[in-house]
Amino acid sequence: MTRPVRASRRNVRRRLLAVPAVAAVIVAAAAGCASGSSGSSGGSQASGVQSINFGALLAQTGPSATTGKLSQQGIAAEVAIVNSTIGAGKFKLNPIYTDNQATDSVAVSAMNQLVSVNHVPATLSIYSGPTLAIAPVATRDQVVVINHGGESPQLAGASPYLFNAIPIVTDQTKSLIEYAVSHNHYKRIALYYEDNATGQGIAAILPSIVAATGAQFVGAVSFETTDTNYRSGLAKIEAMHPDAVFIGNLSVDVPGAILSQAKAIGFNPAWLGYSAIIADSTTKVGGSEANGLLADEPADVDPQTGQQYPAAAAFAKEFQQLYHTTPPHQAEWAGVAVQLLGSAVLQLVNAHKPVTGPNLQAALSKISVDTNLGHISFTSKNTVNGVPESIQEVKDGQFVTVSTVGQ
Amino acid sequence: MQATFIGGLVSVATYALVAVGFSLIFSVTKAFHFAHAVVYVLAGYVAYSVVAPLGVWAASVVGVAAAAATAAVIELVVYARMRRRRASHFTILIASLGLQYLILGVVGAIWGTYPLVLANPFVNLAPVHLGGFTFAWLDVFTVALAAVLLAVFLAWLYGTRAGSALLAVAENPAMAEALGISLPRARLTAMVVGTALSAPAAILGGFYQSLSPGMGATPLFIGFAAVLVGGAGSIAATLLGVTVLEFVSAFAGYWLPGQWSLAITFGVVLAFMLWRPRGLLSSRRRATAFVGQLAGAA
Amino acid sequence: MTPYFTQLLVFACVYALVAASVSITMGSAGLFTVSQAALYGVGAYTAALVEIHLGLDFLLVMLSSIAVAVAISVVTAFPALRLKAEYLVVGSLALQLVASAVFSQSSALGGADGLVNIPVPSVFGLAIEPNDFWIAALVVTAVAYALLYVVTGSPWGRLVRAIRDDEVAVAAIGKNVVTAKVSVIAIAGGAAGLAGALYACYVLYISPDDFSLQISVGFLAVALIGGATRLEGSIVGAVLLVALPQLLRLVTLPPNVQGQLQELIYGGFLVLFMMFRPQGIVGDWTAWRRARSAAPGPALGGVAARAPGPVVQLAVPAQAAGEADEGVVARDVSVSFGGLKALRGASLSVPLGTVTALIGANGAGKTTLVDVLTGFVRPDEGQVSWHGRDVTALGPQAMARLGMARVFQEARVFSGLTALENVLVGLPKQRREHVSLTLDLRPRVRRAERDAVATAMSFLDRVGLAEHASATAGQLSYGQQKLLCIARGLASGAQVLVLDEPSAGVSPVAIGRLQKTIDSLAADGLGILLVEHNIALVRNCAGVVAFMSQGRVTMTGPPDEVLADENMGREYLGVGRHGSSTAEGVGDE
Repeated sequence: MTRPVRASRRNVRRRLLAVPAVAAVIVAAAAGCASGSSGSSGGSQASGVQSINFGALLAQTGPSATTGKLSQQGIAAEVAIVNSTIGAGKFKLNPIYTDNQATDSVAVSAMNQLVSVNHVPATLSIYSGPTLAIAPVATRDQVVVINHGGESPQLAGASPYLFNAIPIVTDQTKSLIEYAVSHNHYKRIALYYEDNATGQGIAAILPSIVAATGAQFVGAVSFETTDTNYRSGLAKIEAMHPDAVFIGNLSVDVPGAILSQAKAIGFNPAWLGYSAIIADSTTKVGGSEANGLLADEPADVDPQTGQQYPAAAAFAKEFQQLYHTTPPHQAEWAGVAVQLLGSAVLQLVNAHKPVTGPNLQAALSKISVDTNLGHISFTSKNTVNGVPESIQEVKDGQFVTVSTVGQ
Repeated sequence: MQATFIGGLVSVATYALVAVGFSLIFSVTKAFHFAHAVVYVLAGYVAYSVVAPLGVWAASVVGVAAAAATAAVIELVVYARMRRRRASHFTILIASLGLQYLILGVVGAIWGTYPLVLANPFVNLAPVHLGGFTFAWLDVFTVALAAVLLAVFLAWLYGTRAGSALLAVAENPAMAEALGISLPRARLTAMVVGTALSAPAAILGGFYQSLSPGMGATPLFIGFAAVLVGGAGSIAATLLGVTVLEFVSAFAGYWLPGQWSLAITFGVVLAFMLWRPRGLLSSRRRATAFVGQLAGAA
Repeated sequence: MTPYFTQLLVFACVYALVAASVSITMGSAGLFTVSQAALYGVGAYTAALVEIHLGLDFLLVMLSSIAVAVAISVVTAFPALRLKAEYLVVGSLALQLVASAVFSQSSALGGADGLVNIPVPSVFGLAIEPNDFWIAALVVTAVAYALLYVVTGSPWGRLVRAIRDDEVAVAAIGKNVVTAKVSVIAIAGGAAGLAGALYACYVLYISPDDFSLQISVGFLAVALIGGATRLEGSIVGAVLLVALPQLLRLVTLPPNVQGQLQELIYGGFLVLFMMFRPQGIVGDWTAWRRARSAAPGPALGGVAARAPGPVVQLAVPAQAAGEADEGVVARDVSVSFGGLKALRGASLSVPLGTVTALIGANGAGKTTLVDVLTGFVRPDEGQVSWHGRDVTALGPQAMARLGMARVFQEARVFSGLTALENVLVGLPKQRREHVSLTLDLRPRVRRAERDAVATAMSFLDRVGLAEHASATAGQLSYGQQKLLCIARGLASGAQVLVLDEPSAGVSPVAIGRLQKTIDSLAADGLGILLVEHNIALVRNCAGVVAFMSQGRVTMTGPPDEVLADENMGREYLGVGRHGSSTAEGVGDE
């Protein structure tokens, strides 16, 4: 026999318990945030050394987390160098690592957090999609964004506050196509690209770049990021009879599979790509089909002297000390972003100007500084000038530098 | 066109392994084992870790064993316990979803999320030209391996006592139990065998492209769709379902932008449910019971 | 209010609304769908496009998001529901996939990059800057929740929960299941669409990634952890979803593990909850279980029991002079299932004021004949008439509305509802059972609802269950559940009551009560069809006994005659030459 009154009171009690439980969670969250942000408000001054906080948006979780770690290491290494050299006695850079999960919406909310909680004047960013997503926030809140991993052409001029520290794909592709056509005399070039912001960006500019070299652009086919079966697409490209195919991928494990499946259907054009194709999987999975592949990536070697840039050498030394390995490119480029930021901050500190977003923006627009990738400055569209490209060819299953071309 | 055909055939082979494994697990345990998508992938990762000392073939066997063992643990620690507490099918489905997240996290924590390369032993062989078709030795290996595994599996399922026990449990658990078949043991067997059957697909995936924690999502999806199209509870039907779906998808991919391929797959599934709800081969009763269980109605 | 807390609050509101949508479909209605993110996305894109191209007032933006989301969810759910309920899952999956494809392919929607630079919304000319958006979000969410509480607590909500517990039984009392389900989908769709509008108008940037299948599944998981059967569960789930990442920031672990922390924690939580507390943090265990449960307590939205009102006359029509009170009659019906002929020209009449017993061996076709009479199966040949009118083509709901009530052998009670609520669901013509009228809270309507409670109590009293009015139906004994089904059937306005093996599995004491009830109902003019194996009960109650064998009714007549017949005895009762018998129930009572 049930006792309705008691049971309903228990019910009500249970419901009331939910309220303080929820409140407790909120309070805990608030406490967490408060303690998390207590050490990171704006910049503080202590004995003449300014502490400059800056954001570092990268993928800490999700599929791109491993790449994010490389960025983090690169940033940490270069921050150590900057703080001990140009910043010594004047300022101290302090990175606030935040997760963007390589996703647009998470990047936007993370950016909002950096701006409103941590009051950073600048942040680093990576991946085209998320960087494009935070560009409006940068403009609106006047916070500088330095992109060191996205290469989409749409990044050019996306915001006066967005600076692209590595060459966007337009510039990389231009160098490569020019080299490829002039050395190997390709006549018909096709494009197989990944259906996302980067790939679509390549598809938009490749036809004109190819045309400018005198070769013919015969067509483009796209594939999805989640595809694993490229034979249909490759068959379509084969039907266009190209003598060279440019692979516009973003995911690193894709080109290898493309190559091996092309081989499986008996399709053997010359293969071209940009920095995203230079990976272990391309040679390991592509096998013999990869031999002869031409790609380029930003070079840390001076095309005139053939020597590594001093900044890059110093960076490599610090990285080796911290992590006991030579720095991968992702880390190196992250270092470039920090070098740019450090340089701009130095300018402002020397001129006794406050380190704010607008001031940094002004400084960066006119900057001209030595970095891991040489002496660089920014164009009117905030793309980077002066970064040489290293042309790499696959020989016997290894990527080998065959040339370094200036911009 | 012939390239598309070969591509479709290879896809059918690998997806069939995943689909049949999943179908076996589902028919016998009635649990919607979402986590299958990541448990079978474990085989590839474990193989990757031991390939240096053991060589690729032994490493693959070790990997498959590891995946099967994990499935056994899941059955014993999670599913069986939930069944003892009379959890509904839906609750078990959500638990499996949680397991999928959890194991994805574990894999990412141990091996990282960057795609890993599993060296393909056939990588440097020249392609084969046969009767107007061109394909790679890896393709031959994949199709042959899938065919052999499925044949051995079907022989075991229909020809041995243990296999028949599973069939009985799938058809009518109460009756099977009354006949003296141990339900817990049958379920455990189904989990282990189903996972072991699908695990080679992970190794093959590693050969073809790379290992990533989420690589099992699409194959599981296709497997689920295949079971719906082909009809639940029948292995032949699942195979037929995979074949139909893959070829539709491959040829559709030829003409339409790729983003639509999953949507098309499900359009086919939906069309089948409307036109032929019992599936291509299996009985209406089984098919609607399947989806009913899924909806938590059972 | 710092921008940081603004963000947390706004996201909590947005997630709460999507979780509420899950709570309504899954928790209240028991429908499993995976298209929450798609509808959330529809709402977001609608709001974004309206803001970008039309610049309408924020209120209109929200309304358009809700409208479009409702329209799309109804249009896609309706065909799936009409065919078979289970197809809803697949249909929702298809919707989600198509929506994702459209969001990322359509150039009007910005393609893979989504829509950027959405203008700041304004209400009555006053701009709502992102930093102030929390006010708008809280107000909107509070209003939405208030409405949802009223709606889910109304008779419509009760009907929906009844459908979750047993939709066949709902059809058998004459209520329209499909319409109710569609309305559930519509309301849930509207909630998700509203959430999307809030999101778009705050973040001012949306992309297809925000609305993928993964996100749907994530919302499902979070709503379940919070507790899907109660609306409060959605708030708990949303707060969890917002607070957890913030709490995780406090923890430092090896980098690889730190990166996967969210997956590990969410996954782990989900498994643990499903294993040990599937009803979620604040969920209602009895409602979740949908079956006999161990936990006591009134069900959700408990209606307070009251004293029984005046005895309500049963809905039996006055006997017209001279006209035989036929009740329901089956004439020469034949039914085949595949190759099996279940009925071969069976005829049976169930007149009012009489107890007609239907006996026969298993497989004789009794259940099929009952299915035909109640409208669950349409005969291949033959005719069914109701008071002389041809009703062969009518389905179970229509038959129920005419006055046919069926008590199933499995006692299909709505196990998550109280006994009183079970009976209330049976009452026809309840204004607030129509979803569009649930907000009609006028005194007149409320009074009618109180009267309904009194009416329901009187029906409970009739079957002797008045003191159990507030007990959860799943808690009652099997015998009590069967009585409850009778009460429910009476409430639906029964003129003919079909009792399918009511004594099966019931204690002898309860059989006694059953018999008393049957007698009194027949005395009040109800027509009763008693399908039974319990011969003693048949002998005591029945005015007419019909014997079925191999798909036909072979014998009809008074009990003494039929039960003594030799042929029938041999075939069914197993009475041998020496009078021994193996039939059920002989010797009882």
